[in-house]
Amino acid sequence: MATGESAGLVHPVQTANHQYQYLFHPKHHGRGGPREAQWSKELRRDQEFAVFDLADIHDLLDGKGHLYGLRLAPNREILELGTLGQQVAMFPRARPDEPWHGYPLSPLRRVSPPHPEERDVPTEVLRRMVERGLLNEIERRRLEKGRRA
Amino acid sequence: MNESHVSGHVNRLAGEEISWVGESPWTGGLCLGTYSGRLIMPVDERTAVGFDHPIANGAINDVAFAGNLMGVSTRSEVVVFERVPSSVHFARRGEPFGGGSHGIVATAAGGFVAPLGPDGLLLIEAKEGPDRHLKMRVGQIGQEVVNCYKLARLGVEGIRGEVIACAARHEGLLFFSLDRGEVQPTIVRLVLPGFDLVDVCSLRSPQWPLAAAALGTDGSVFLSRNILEVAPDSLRLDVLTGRAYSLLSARGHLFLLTSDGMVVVNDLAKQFLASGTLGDYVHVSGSTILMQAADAFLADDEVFFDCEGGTPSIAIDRLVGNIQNSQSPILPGSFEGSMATDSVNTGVISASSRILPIHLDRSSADWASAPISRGSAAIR
Repeated sequence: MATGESAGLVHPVQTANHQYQYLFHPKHHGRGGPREAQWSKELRRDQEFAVFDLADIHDLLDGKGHLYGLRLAPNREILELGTLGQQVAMFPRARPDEPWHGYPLSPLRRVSPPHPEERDVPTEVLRRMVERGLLNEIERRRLEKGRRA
Repeated sequence: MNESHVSGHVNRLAGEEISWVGESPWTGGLCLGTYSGRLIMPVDERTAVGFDHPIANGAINDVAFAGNLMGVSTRSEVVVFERVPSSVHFARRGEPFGGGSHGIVATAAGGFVAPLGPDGLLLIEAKEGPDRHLKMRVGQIGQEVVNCYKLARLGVEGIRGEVIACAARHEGLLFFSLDRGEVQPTIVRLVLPGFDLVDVCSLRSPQWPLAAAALGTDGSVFLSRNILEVAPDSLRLDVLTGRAYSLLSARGHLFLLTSDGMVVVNDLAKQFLASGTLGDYVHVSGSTILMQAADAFLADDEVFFDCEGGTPSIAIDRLVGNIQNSQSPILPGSFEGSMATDSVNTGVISASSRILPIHLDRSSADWASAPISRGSAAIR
């Protein structure tokens, strides 16, 4: 992605699996419009990176190479990670040698989202999250229906 | 705590996972949505009205009927179908709405309202006349982003007309009225700081048409006899554990589904409607059904549960302890009408449904149940 994100910070740590770099994009940290997906203000940067790292560790990819992550509590509860109660984050595939970025994903497909890539999390990714022990079947079913897990 | 068992059934539809259960006024029986986007209306255990392919993109999360129209929602789209005249069959009406919805409710005007999360409300109006087109509009509530999550049609009252309640997560509870499908300018918002509201339902009282109950994720329940005029009382049941998912009300009872099971509170809605307040304390009785379910639905005097491996259903009377061993009917399966399969309605753009072979199995099952001790509710 272009370097307009120069205003954002790149996390000093790379992901454990593929050594991806991660950028905290200002657009999703208060600089975007009111309808732009925003990370929760309670989320620290290392916690946001942990969502991305978990996505990379478990290869939570869709067919286009986008990654999807969750914020899990120590008791494995799925925590909210966006200002609108979102529980899944999407990380659009980055160009080679460029940092990734991500944002909380709406549980619903949106007709006119501010971000062109924002769609509902693919069912195959939810099923992979179950296979990897990140979601249980009840949570998968709720997310698949656009509900809060 | 004395643990006992409650009996019910597990319903399984061969080759499908059931995602939604309701009643079809067109067939007089059940209506089933599936995770693959199919919708069928069983006639008996071996036949159903429906399509042999998905009718919507993704798992069906809600279905609503408005006269001869049926609205179906998924997290990816909203689709409207029309009943073929003098028939139990249906065909798609117009193009789908290309955004997802958390659910859909029918309006008195014969249309639908669907909650689109932060994108607001989808209003669907079916025009009469020669063109009979569907009018779909997305409406925002005010200037700020309001997360429209779950809707409930309350009732019709005086000059307000038809009142719809909306659980809007951290933004509280919203109430708006509809006049001939139009949202009226005055929208009432009840701010409940610190609560994440995920469900709202009517208390189904002819005497109190605006009586409603809402549910927070922490299990808090808010009750009001006239939600537009009286601030709600709230309570939280000490026995409730896990994340609260959904709230149902039937016959004066409340049914709270959490990630750990269902809490049945006998007569709470009935008692509350009689007195208008929870008072300083409340004596509650009921039971906790230990069952992990993703969703719960009321249909045909039973509560159905969206579970892995099948769809349990338990008669309401059995859930509240009024019967112990009676047998439920296998299926509410009769319907009237011809088997016409042709559709010539303007605006209908797909082939109509047909009679399908299905394999719907309904086997008996028991679940552990623990009684709620009296007085185990905290009133705020």
